[in-house]
Amino acid sequence: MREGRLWLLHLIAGFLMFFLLGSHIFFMHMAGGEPLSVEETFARAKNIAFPLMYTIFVAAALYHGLYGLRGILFERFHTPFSQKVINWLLSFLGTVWFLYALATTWIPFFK
Amino acid sequence: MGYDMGKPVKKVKFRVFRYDPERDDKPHYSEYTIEAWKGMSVLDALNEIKADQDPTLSWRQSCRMGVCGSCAMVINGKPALACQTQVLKLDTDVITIEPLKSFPVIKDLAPDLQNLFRHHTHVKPYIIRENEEELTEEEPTEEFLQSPEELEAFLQFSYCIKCGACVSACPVSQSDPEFYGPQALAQAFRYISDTRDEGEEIRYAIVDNPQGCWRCHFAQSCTFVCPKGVDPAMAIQYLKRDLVLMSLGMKKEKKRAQKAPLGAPTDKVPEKYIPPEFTIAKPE
Amino acid sequence: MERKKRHYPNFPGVVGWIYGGNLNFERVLFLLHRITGLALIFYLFAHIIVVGFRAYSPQMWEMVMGRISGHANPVILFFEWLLVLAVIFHMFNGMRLIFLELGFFVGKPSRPVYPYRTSIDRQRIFTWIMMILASIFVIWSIFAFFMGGGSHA
Ligand code: HEM
Ligand code: HEM
Ligand code: SF4
Ligand code: SF4
Ligand code: FES
Repeated sequence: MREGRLWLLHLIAGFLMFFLLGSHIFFMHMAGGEPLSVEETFARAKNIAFPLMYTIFVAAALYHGLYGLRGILFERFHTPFSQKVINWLLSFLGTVWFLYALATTWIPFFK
Repeated sequence: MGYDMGKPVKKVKFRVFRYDPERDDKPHYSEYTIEAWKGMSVLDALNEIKADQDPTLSWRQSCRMGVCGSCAMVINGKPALACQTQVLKLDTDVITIEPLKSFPVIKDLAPDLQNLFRHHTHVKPYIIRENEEELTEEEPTEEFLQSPEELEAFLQFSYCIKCGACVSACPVSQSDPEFYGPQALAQAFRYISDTRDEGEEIRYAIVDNPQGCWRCHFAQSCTFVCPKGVDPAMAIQYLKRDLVLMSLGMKKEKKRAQKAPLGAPTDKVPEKYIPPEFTIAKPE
Repeated sequence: MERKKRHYPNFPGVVGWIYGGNLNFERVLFLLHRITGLALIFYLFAHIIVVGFRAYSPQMWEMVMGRISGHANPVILFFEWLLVLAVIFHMFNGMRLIFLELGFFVGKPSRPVYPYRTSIDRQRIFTWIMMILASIFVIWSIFAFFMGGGSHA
């Protein structure tokens, strides 16, 4: 069942992002107004909903994108060994980027 | 030659992929011009070319009526059965013929389909019974009952003639020879949805694999080219749905075929298993 | 000299994603989905780094944002718009795939009677609806980006 579960997560993350990324793009580009200054983003981040929302968003986007990339790489690399290397490499990349993003979203909240 | 089925309608040029394993390092194209007649299939045309112009041209054929699956090739960019493709219906003056993609070429238009059958056998394309005696019994005493609806659940997929056109068209199979491919995955679903079969757990476990049904991205090229209406894309999405429902613990128990003593009189058989009367229209 | 017989490896590889021959509309969507997905994941890596600057160094954020946002440079504005196009397409086609890959709108197996009706015909309407929705958002994005309807006025 393992592969199927990973794929289902990929789908669920995609479904979540339909709303998260949709609103992200909407507020960044379509809704008018000026871009956010640092002070504004910091002020916004005091409301716990923002860092929480962004944490879910980052996790979903990274997982979804990296699973997609893994699928494409698996078309080219077939041996159990190379697939294991890809799994570790992508999980490592994902974790590093996720921790970095986690810090950016939560540091303003606690500041 | 006995090819006077119709009068020549127009001249058609054939550009045919050629590769001779004994001489060539790279394929090249040969050109032949023939007179196409009404009703001429691409396979007929190839036979005329071989008879009259170039005896070295090679391909595979057997039934010449869309049943054996030997003659699939890429005709004007689309994988199709040569025997089912009408030259005049293609409606082009130059017809390009290439061997199926994604398979190694043995010679000219003959692909090596080993990979197709490797994946096909891997999904166990046969009825599996928990009680193996039932299948080895020399003199069976019971038969399985299937209603017309239960038959329709898999009939479409059982039309597959293993021609390989779908695998040749699938973008994933084109970049990944280890992807099980539309043909094998559709056959896995064909036996899973057969009420006589009890091997679904085994097959679900086989296709739930990084190289299995999850690598299909629903480009539907397989369904687009399948000459038998098998619709592998549909079968694969149902496989995914089944596996997702299973991992959520929401999959319903599969229906099993009822059994009846061999040759039981029809009034002993529950009504829903009796197929509707066939009426054959009389020619007027 | 004896020459060993060799099969010609007629294997399209990555070219097969792009050159499908005479094939169907859904395959074009597959190709676009893959290209946009790859573009997005690589953008996301860079994006997360840049967005992170502000927590560590507000000056750097101001500088980077001043330099790379579309407000400063019409070429970058154009690339930002391409990115938004990719997001819009990937979003709506992705939503379509979520339904179809779970077996919705592909129809039930039926008796194969010629001419065959397949899942391609059955899901086409749904596909067109999703693509029309996506186009509406694309048109909106043109207004927002280039005609002063949005934040880039
Ligand atoms: C060109 C269009 C985009 C612009 C102008 C933009 C702008 C921004 C800004 C200003 C932030 C910080 C917001 C805040 O903290 O209040 C942010 C965060 C974020 N954006 Fe975007 N974004 C764009 C497109 C995207 C896309 C396409 C993705 C997905 C692939 C994405 C994913 C994210 C994520 C995951 C975060 C949170 C990062 C973190 O917490 O470290 N953005 N974006
Ligand atoms: C906006 C909401 C999104 C939805 C609804 C969505 C949906 C999907 C779905 C359903 C798939 C699976 C396609 C398949 O199995 O054929 C997929 C694939 C993929 N997605 Fe997304 N996605 C979204 C956003 C993103 C983002 C933000 C990224 C990048 C960070 C991304 C990267 C990818 C990649 C790389 C693939 C693999 C493509 C392939 O294998 O051909 N997606 N997406
Ligand atoms: S599914 Fe269709 S195209 Fe594929 S091998 Fe079977 S008959 Fe040929
Ligand atoms: S639907 Fe799946 S199996 Fe069929 S051509 Fe597309 S990717 Fe290949
Ligand atoms: S020769 Fe048998 S299918 Fe064409």
